[in-house]
Amino acid sequence: MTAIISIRGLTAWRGGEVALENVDLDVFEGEIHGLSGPNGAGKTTLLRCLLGTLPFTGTIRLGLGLKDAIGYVPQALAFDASLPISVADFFALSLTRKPVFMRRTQALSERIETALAETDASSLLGRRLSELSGGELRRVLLAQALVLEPRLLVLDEPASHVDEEGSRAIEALLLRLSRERGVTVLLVEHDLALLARVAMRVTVLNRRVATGEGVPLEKAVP
Amino acid sequence: MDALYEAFAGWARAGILPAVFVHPFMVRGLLGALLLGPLFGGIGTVVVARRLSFFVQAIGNAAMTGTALGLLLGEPPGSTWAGIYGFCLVSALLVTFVKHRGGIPSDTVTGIFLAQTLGLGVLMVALVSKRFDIHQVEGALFGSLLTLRDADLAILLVTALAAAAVAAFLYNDFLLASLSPELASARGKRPVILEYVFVTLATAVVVAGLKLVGALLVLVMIVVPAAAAQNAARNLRQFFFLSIALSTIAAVGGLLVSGYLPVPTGGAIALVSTALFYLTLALSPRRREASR
Repeated sequence: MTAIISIRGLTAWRGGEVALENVDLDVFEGEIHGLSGPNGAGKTTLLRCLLGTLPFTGTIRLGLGLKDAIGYVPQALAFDASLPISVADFFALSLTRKPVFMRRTQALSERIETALAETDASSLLGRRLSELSGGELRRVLLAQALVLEPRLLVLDEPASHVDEEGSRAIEALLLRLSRERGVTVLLVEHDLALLARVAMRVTVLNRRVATGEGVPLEKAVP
Repeated sequence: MDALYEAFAGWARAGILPAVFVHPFMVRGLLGALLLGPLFGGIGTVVVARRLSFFVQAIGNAAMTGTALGLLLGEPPGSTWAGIYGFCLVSALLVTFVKHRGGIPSDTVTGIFLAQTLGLGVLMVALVSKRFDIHQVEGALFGSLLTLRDADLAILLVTALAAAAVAAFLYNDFLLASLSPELASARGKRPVILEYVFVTLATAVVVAGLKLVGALLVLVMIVVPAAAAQNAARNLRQFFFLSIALSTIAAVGGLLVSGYLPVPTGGAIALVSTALFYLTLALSPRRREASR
C-alpha cells in the first residue's frame, strides 16, 4: 500500500506549549482513516501542520501530484454574521482569480451548481453563509471540498452541529467517495461510534502521542 | 493642471457647477475625493471582512509620529512622505510579524503598538513644536483641503492604480484566507504572505489619503462606508460596489459641506458617512426581518 500522507516525528507548539510530540502517522491510498482523541489532544494542530499553516519539526510527506488539491472541510469559517457573502460567492473565491465582485462566467456558475448538487445543496446557492444552519453549512463546505475532485479529502469534525440525519448523509457520502472514486479520506472526529461505521483504521491521539500507523477500531477502543 | 482649474472655474461661473469651484483648491479637493472614494470604499470591504478596523486606526495614528519623525530628519514641512511611509510601513509589518510569531491576538498586539506609537509621537511632537509650526502636525491629524497639492493628487492616483492592480489578482485570495487560512492553504495559497501583502497595501492606501481626511478620521472613510454597505448588500458584488458608491458620496458630500461652511473637510466627511450608515441601517432588509 502506498502512503498518501506519511508523518514522521512531528512536533508542534501552540502558545508556547508542546501540542504534538514526535507523532508518526501513515494514511494509505484509498482508505478512510479516522483521527480521534479527546479535546486538546492535538487533532486540529495536526491538521494545521498538514495544511501548512503551523510551523513544525519532523517531516510530512504527501503522495500527491503537483496539480492535486487537498479537499479540505474546515470545522467552521471565521466571518462576522454581518458579512454579506453568499454561498456562490464562497465558491467563486476559491475557484477563480477573477475578483468576486465582477460578473461570473456562465461556466463558473454551472460548475458551482454542479458541485452543490453533489451534496444536495443546490437550493442554497444564493443564500448568505450567515443564514445557513449547521447542517446546511456542512453540505456547502463538503461540496466546496469536492469541487476540484481531490484524491485526498481532509475533514475536521464534519458531524459537529449536524443532526442525526445529516450525519448519516455525510457518512454515506464518504463511503461512496471511497468506494466509487477511490478518494482517500482523513477524518478527524471525536465520535468513535461514527468512526466505527465508516473508518477502516483509526489513529488515536492522546496526550500528544499517536499510536503509530493506526489500528482497526476494535483495538483502538479498550 | 492650470487649464483644468480654469475650466472648472469657468463652469462654476456659468452656474453649471457650485460657485465654490472657482477656487483651484476646491477642484483639487474634488479630484482627491473622486480618487479617494473608490479607493477607500474598495479596500474597506477587505478591511471589514478581515476585521482589521483597529489596525487601520493604529496605522493612521502612526502617521502623526511619522510626520514628526520626517520633520526631525529634515524633510520639508508638508511633504514628510519618507517619515510617514517609512514609519507606518515598518510599524505595520512589525505588528503583523509579532502577531504571527507570538501567537498573540491581533487586537492585543495592535493595542500595544498603538500605545507605543502614540507615546513616541507625543514626545516627538513636543520636540518638533520648538522648531516647526505645530500646524504641520495638526494637518496630519485632521487633514486639510487647503494644503492639498498636485503632487498629493499624483500620489493618490498612483496608489489607486496600484491597489486596483493588486485587487485584480488577489482580492479573492484576501477574502478566502480570512474565512479560513487552512482552506486557503489547501488550495495552494499562502495565507501569511497574503497578510503581509494586504497590510502593505492598506498602509500605502491609508497614508495616501491622510492629506485629505487626516490620521484621526482615516478609519471613518475606510470602515464606515463598508459597514454601511453591509447593511444593504446581499452578496459580495453588491457589497463592493455599494461600499465604493457610499464612500465616494461621503467624500464629495463632505467636501461640498466644507466648501460652504467653515468646517474641516475630514470632519464633514466623517459626519456625512456616518449619516449614510444610519440611513442604510434603517433601510436594511435584515434589520426589518429581525424586528418583524
